[in-house]
Amino acid sequence: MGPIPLDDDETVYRAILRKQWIDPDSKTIKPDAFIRRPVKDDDGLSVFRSRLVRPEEVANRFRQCYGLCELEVRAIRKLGLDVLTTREADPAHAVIIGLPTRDENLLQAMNLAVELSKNARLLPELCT
Amino acid sequence: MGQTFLSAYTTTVSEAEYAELTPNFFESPGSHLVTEPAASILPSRYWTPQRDLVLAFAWSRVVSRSREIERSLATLLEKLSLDPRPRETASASEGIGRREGLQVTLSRLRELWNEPESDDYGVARPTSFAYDTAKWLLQQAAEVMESPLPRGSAAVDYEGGITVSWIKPDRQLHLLIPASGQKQCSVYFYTAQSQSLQSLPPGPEAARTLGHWLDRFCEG
Repeated sequence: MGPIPLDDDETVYRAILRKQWIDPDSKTIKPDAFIRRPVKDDDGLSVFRSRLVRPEEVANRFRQCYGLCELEVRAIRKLGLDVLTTREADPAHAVIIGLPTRDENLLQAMNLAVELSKNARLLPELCT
Repeated sequence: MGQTFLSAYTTTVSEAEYAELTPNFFESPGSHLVTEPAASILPSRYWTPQRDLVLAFAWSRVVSRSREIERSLATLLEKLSLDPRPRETASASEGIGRREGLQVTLSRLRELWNEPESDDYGVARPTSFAYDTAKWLLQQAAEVMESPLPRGSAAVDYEGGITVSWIKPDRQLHLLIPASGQKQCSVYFYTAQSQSLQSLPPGPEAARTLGHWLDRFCEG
């Protein structure tokens, strides 16, 4: 079975893998958290479905995780992007597709990263 | 070897000479500079008691590179009677005012050296090129700005480049510095109504361009 679009009313978690992704003054998520890497994010930007996995479980998947932020799939789609499932073996994992890398289109990559960061809600209980 | 290292990688200069030095040199502990390649292995700083000048130094990282370098720097530190105060503490006591935003931003930039070489996301420590370029641009932009340079924060991208960000609820400014000189530095400015991306020209004009965008960020 191929990738399946998530429901509009779902939410997804994005792991904050660097403390620098949180603005130290405003305590908001910075666009850096939503920059797609050319190779590692070949299939899209990794997120996790809140219906299928708890925040703590997402954080534990990484060596170092400074917190999570949550986004509505509906809000992501309003930006012209989409969110799809990826692997049957890991149904909680999904990807945001449609983001260019900075090398492909720097202006668009930054525009979308800013919009995603503005739509992201930081889960403070998980922030270290 | 200790003296050889010191003579090879440090330089004695006057304060007047220091003022003329390029950003390729690390900051000075009064009369000594640690120059490349030593600078690239020295992510933290020690401070002279009375001066806003610094000798770059970090025990933990130096140990893994060379015990001889470690011993040499220990000798230098001892001779200079350095004070390991963090920069923000030192700056606050000087009542810098207009330069507070610059000092905080540079302090956050320096903290990037304390990151591990890599993490789950990719390269986590900036390249020397990105660091030196960011520092130089910030310092020069602060000189040409009408407003005081606001507090910014710094992050390393997946290649070792640096993004310096200034964020308000209604606008954002991001200085994008690549990992190497093969790509251009850029400034990205965001408001809900418009978004702009401008490549920075080479040389001093880059700092003027950044200063212009920072002044625009500060407006309103």
